[in-house]
Amino acid sequence: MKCAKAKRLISDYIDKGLNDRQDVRLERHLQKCPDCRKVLEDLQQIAAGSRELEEVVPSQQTWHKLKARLIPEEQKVLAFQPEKRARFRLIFFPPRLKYALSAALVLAFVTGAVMLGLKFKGGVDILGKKDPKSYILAKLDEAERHYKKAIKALWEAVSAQEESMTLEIAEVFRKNLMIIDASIIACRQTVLQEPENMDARSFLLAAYREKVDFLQEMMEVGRPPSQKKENRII
Amino acid sequence: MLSTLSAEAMQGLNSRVTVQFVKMGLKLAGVIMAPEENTKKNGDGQDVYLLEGLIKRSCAGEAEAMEAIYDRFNRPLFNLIYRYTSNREVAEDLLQDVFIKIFTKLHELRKTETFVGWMYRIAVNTCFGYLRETRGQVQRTVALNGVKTGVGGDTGQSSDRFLKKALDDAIQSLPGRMRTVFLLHDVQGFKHEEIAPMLGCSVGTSKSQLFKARMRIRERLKEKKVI
Repeated sequence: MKCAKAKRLISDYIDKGLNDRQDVRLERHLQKCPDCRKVLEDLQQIAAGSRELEEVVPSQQTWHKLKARLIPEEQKVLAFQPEKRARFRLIFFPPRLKYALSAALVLAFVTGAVMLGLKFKGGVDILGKKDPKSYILAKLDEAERHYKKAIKALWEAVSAQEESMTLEIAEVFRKNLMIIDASIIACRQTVLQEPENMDARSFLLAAYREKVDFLQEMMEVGRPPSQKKENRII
Repeated sequence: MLSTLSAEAMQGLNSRVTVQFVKMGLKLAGVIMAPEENTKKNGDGQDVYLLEGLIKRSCAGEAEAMEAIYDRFNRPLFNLIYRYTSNREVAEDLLQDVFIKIFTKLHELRKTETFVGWMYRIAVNTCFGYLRETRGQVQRTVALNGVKTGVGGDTGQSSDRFLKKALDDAIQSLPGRMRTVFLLHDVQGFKHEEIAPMLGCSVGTSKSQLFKARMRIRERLKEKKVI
């Protein structure tokens, strides 16, 4: 065997990729040729060294940056509260639903206004207990009023702190609020369509609670550092 | 050991394609997982099913599944990418680009068995794109690395570290395709039969590129009197 051919086989020899006949022929050549033996030693050293090259590890932040690029813009804000994302994702998918729900909400308000008008004007108790649908809606209205009162008070408190928020937090605050409001609208519409659907009722109340909780969290964020107990958002 | 485990794991599955996939998956697991995690996974075929499940869930947009895939493969891919860029920050950006491509094109993957090879192909193509864009800058980086190595030698680095540094520099001086074959075979531990479909070449070409790469590295190391 000539050196040129032997050298071509040495690489495969290191990887145990030669057949028995090639193995024997190469080994016979290596015994006689110190140059090719040196090539074998060097390539073995290179192959061994390559397996032990220093391992580099990406920083922890890489996944977070990647995740931010993966999450659609609409859901990005909810990434601050990952356990709640799945629930909201169902409500907002497909995005076209939002527009339909907004239109439905307007309709719901008009219907509600007409019904209340009839109650107070004509003295007819159309929201009486005998009609379960109307009764549930009336009770929900009552609960909604209480929540709205709580939300209004909290909103005023948060607004007083809004100036001290950084631009980034203020943007997050605004987007989160928009999303929660949209979810309230969506849930309320579902309840109007299916007043006996207990899940829908729970979702609506949960959406209100969400808003109350969120406003409380924002109060925490907006507070001066010395008064903060913990930062639950970031 | 790997082939034994794969054979045991595959009893009852009767699928040649899946056997190849499991071998690949287990080997990758050996590269990227912590030793204790690796021992837990070995010995059964759960690994392949786990990966299949993760791929399906990622296709459905589940962030947790995507994170699990990222956790499994970010290290070997990062090591591959880093040896094209020689710059940690750039490598991290490219790693993000690679995973973005993986997750956004995952639904185009026809066979989950080819996932690993497909993923590496994306990584290699992304690196080639980077090299094309920054050819001039890369040449300057190599020159600076040369200066660094000389200084390190003078300050009494151990011969082992000196060899690794010189080897790293020599790898970075290889042309694109040769470097890819060398990194996949000698650094990442793939076989020629696995590399060929990744790069769209024959097994013979992969072997010949590896031989050329090793000989070039040998020349570089000889120039630096490392071997």
